[in-house]
Amino acid sequence: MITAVTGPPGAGKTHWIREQISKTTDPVGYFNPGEDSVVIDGTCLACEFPQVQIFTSGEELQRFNPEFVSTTYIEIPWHFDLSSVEPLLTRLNLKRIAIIPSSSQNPEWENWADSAILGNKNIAEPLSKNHNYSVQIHRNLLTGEILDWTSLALFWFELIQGAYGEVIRAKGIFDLVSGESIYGDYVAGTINQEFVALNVPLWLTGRPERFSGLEIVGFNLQLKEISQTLKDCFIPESQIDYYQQQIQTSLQTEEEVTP
Amino acid sequence: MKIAVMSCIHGNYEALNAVLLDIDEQKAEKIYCLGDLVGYGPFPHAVVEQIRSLDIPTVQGCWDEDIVEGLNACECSYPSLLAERRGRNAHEWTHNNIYPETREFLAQLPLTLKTENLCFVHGSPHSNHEYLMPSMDAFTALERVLSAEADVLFCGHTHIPYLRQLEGGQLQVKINQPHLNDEQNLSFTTPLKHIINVGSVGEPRHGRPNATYVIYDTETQGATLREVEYDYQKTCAAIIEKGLPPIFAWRLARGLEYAEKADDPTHVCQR
Repeated sequence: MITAVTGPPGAGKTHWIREQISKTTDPVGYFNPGEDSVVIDGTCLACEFPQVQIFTSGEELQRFNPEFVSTTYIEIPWHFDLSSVEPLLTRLNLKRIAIIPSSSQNPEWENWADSAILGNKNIAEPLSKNHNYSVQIHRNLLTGEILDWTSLALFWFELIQGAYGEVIRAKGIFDLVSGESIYGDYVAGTINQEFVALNVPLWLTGRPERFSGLEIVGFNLQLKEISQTLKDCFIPESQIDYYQQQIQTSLQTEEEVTP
Repeated sequence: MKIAVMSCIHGNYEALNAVLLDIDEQKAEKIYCLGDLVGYGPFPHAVVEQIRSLDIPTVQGCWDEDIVEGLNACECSYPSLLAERRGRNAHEWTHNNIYPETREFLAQLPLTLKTENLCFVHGSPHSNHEYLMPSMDAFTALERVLSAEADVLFCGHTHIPYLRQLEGGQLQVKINQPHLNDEQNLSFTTPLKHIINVGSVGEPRHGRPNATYVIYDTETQGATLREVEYDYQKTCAAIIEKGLPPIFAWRLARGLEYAEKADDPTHVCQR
């Protein structure tokens, strides 16, 4: 079965898909045509559920074959024109779900769906409205970069408090010098979670060869400032080995003293 | 006699002038300044000129020292790479924009000023980089005041104003040394002491952009914390206009420091 899911940013599309995946151990496919190379939601799902296979753009048609996976979720980003993906959706004969906040003022999603499900009802008003051209989506691919945790925390605080423009949605996966890969999530208007560590091995040998990246949605975003501040959070090349060796030594010491 | 004590102006000329006007209205007879005239803010020269022209007794702050001697505080002064890079940007900008005579003025500032039973320092009597936090244990705090040989110690540097009263008490010290057979017992009585942190004129971190300073009455020994509104948007505009990082303006407008303080604020750099 293939299910297409859409709705406004922060309404809980990925959260709903996650709940469905958690009910099964069978292989599940996931495709988000809007994520391109910055595959944040897909990476989180794949880290939590090993049975999840991420489909990338271009391979979706052959991968939607029930021979590969019996269940597939297509997450259609809020900024997509639904009519543009209609030919694909029609060919796939799928179920359509809209995740909407109670304050949704955009009937397009409800009209499009077979069923509408109430999601995160506390999202800020700009998130639930029709978006026009002034909304910006900014993505940074950070794969290979290692960030200083306290710098990231400072940048994140400033980002969501509006230092670099009005941010209504932000999410990212970041590799830290501790070897952890962490996930951060911000939805304007709601109480936001702390960063959480993804269920992946610590990376303590050189630059991580796994995905990390950041996606920001907002108005009047100062893209140059955002990119420069992020760069200022990076551990310099000359210090990566030094820090990683310290962490490795610390972990070995812990293993030795733990009976 | 009423005195006014201010600190940590950080090149914020608008805030300084607002505080000077307020001091005038409070009819303070003397003004003392606890340093950090420059750093982060857009008007280092104007601030120094104002302090100098009014002949305000001033001690040297850690930023004043760094501009004179070069930035050589150890890395642990900063809690993060981002804060360190911002601090270095601010230092470089100030270094490149300051006039030679301003640097000369900062170089000759004393580390400590004393008048009768009052002592004025930037950080602590031991170092202008040391933070006397309100949470510092009472014994250490008392040691700092005793070492200054004063009853009232005025300090800044933390950017958070507070008044701390150290009650008089009996202290006992036991000394046991290898070459001495008997343990030495010393005891002494300490009189009432005060630490008064006057906050910051130009770089507040109390969640509002207002400048803070203290009025102290030497006869009643009463201290009054003054919080002064000023046109901080002018300073914010100048920060951007003069090429300082725009994030400094954003943080100033919200009563946040330009860069975060170290995780261990009591740490003193080993230079």
